[in-house]
Amino acid sequence: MASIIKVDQIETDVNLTGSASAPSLYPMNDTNTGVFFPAADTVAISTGGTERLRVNSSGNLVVTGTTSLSNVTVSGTVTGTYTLGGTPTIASPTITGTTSFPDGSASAPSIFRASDTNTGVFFPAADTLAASTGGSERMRIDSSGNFQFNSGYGSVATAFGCRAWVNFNGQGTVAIRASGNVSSITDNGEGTYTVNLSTAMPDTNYCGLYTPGNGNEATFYTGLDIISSSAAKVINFNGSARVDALFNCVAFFR
Amino acid sequence: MNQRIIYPTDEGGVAVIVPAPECGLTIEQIAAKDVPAGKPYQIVDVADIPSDRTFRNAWEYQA
Repeated sequence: MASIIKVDQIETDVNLTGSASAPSLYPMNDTNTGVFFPAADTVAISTGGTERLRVNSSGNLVVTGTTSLSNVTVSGTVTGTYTLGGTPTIASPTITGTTSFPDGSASAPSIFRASDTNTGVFFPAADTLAASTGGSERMRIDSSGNFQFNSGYGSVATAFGCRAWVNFNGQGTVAIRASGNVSSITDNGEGTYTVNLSTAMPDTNYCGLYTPGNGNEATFYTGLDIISSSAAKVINFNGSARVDALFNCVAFFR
Repeated sequence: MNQRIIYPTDEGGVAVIVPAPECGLTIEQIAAKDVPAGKPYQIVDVADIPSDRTFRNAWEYQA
C-alpha cells in the first residue's frame, strides 16, 4: 500500500538544522545518513553519522572535513584520472600516480611559482625539459641528454662540464687537498704525477689542463700526457729538471 | 686517509699512490684499480714515506 504524507506533517518532522549523526533529511531506517545544515547558508551530507561533504556559505566545496582552504578542499586521497582546468592551486598534495602538464613556454611555463607565472619549468619539445626565469629560457636538457644553459653566454647552449679535477701538494708529504672524480694520484718521482680517475672518460679524446705553481712562481714548463681514458700523467719542468710544485691543479673536460 | 700504496716502477724507482679522500673507495679498492696490472704493491702508513724529497728519484722499492 502506498504511503501518503501530508505537507504539514513534513514541515513538522523536519529538523531544519540537523547534525552529521542526525541529519535533517534521511531515508527510512537510516537516520544517520542524509542532508543537514550545520551553519547559516551551509549544506552538508553525512553517511554513517560522519560528515562527508559540505558546501559552505562562500560556495566552497569541502570533501572530508569542515574547513575550507580554497574553492575545493579535499582532506584525504583522490584517485582516478582528473583534468584540472584554469590555474589550479593545490596545497601540499601527495601524488602516488603520474601527473601530466601542458607544454608551456618560457614566458608561460606549465609549472611555476605562485604569483610568478613567467618563472618555472616547461616542455618545449618531445623528450625535452626546460626552465625559464623572468620569461626567458635559461636552461634545457635536450632529447640527446645534453645539458644546456644560458649563464651570461648570451643564449642557451650546451655546457661542457669539468669531468674531474684535483688540487694537490707535490712537496714534502704529497697529499690531495681536494678533488672530484679522482681516486688517487701517483707520485712517480720528482715533478711527475699520474692522476687516476674514479669514473673513466668515454675515450681518450678528452682535454686535460695542468697548472703547477709555488705561490709566487709561475714560469714552469708543464706537460700533460693522456695515458688512457682513466689516467693522465702531468710533468712539471723548470727548464733544467723536473721539480715538485706546492700547488698542482689538474682538470679534465669532455 | 693516512695510508699510501707503493709499487716499483719500470725504471727501478718507486711510485707512491696518494688516495683521494673524497673518492669513497677503500685503500684496497684504490690499489686494485690504480696499481698497474701485475705490479707488486704494499699499503703503508703515510709516516713511512719520507717527506724529504731531495733525492726522490733515488728511492727504491723493497719487497
